[in-house]
Amino acid sequence: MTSTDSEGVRNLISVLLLCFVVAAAVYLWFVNLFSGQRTFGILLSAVLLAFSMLIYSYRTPRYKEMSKRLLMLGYLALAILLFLGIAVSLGYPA
Amino acid sequence: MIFLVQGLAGMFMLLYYSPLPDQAYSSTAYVFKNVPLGQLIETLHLYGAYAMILLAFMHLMRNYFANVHKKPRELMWVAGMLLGFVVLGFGLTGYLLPWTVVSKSATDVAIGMLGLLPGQLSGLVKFLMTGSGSDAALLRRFVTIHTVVLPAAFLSLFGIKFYLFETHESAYIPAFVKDHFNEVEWFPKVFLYLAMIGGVLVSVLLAVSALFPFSLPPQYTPEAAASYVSQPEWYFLWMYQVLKFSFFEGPGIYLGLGVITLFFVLLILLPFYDRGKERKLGSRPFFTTIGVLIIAELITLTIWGYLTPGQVIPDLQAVTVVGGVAVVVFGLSWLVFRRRREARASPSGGGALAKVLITPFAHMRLTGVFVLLLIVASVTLASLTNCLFGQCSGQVPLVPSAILFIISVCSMTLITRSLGAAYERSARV
Repeated sequence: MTSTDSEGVRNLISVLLLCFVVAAAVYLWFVNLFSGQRTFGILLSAVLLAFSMLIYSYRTPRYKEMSKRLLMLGYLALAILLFLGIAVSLGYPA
Repeated sequence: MIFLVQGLAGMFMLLYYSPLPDQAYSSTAYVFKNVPLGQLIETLHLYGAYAMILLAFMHLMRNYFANVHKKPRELMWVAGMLLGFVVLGFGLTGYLLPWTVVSKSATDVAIGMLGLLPGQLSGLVKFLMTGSGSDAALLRRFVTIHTVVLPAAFLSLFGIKFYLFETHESAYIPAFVKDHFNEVEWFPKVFLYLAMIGGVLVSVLLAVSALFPFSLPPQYTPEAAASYVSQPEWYFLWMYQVLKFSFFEGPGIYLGLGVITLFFVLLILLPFYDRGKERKLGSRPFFTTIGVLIIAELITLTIWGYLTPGQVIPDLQAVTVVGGVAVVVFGLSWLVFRRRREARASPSGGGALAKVLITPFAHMRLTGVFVLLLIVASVTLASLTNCLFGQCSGQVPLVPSAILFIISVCSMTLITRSLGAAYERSARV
């Protein structure tokens, strides 16, 4: 598959994002709301971003190609947020 | 969307907040230390306020450059301006509520300015804002204004603006798609679009709030305030900087306040004197230049105010910086619009430079670089004159400022020249 226009890629993107949203939401449920405020904030931010990407995928008409640049930007931001979430939960930066 | 987040965060904070001078600080500190997600929500509320003010200003300038204030949307512009004042009011009143030394000192400066209003107006506005004048009355008034009066005003004005938008439709719709405009349903199409944009905005706000949590400054006491140089929040810094010019000191302060008031009045009344039918940026050199000048001066004054807390600015220095920025902006504008006229007159068509600089939405990156260079040039000019007048703040020393200023001005000139040359080459081919 070379184009994000294909139905398969679009579905794969949506399922991956949905899995991420559910997994992050489950994790958020168990975060300590006193000591883990920053981790909570970063992960909730990632969930909202993933949710926005899901909406983007849903509202783009089937006949129109999804913007690869926007998708890549979204995934990059998600990766950065995940990395930051892990770093903050491990105590970096103090 | 941000207003919604602000409302929810504000309601959460009100559950714990006690609007009494001796309890306001401790109740805010309690939320920070003992409430689950307390610090995150307090930080989110603060950064959300910053974002609202910044986005409101960006929306104002975008509408100014897009010329959407023209007939029949004059009242939409006025409603938008009033909404902007309400947002600034939220900032002013909300800032005092934690009762920190920073917030109380800044509010005292603002209330002191109310005393300068003419005649009976001063007493009336002071009574409405501060009540009997005691700390308790002041805090009670500000809480009421922040949580009842301003939200009601915001929602009413938003409703009016929304109604006018529905009546006059968007100014951006070309005539050939106008017939299809009403076919876009609010649900689900517009709703999903707003949810998507709102989700990204709140996501950014949450990430910034989590990464850079706000720490509460010390509590306000008269002793603590005596040793503190009062400085307003960043969105009022430009006004404060103007009032620090030495010719606005003493009785001259009335003139300073008059200049600021005149600026706002002219901005509100813009649709009533800018009556021309032309909407394109490139065809309106005067108003385009004034718009760029407003942005450049506001940024310069804000950063300059941050670099010189509590310092009175000498006359010559004020004229040099404010005038210097104006000269740079008018010079660049003259260059661009002259080349545009030449390009139009030539048989080969429009000039690349004019296209690049006058159609900012079509050439985002180059326009971004240009605006960035303009900001660097303005700020370094301010810091340079500071140093030349013996008021080096220590934060931005003389030599780096001079180097940065030269580099930014040279880069702007180089971009201008190379684009012009590239266009001429392509025109010859």
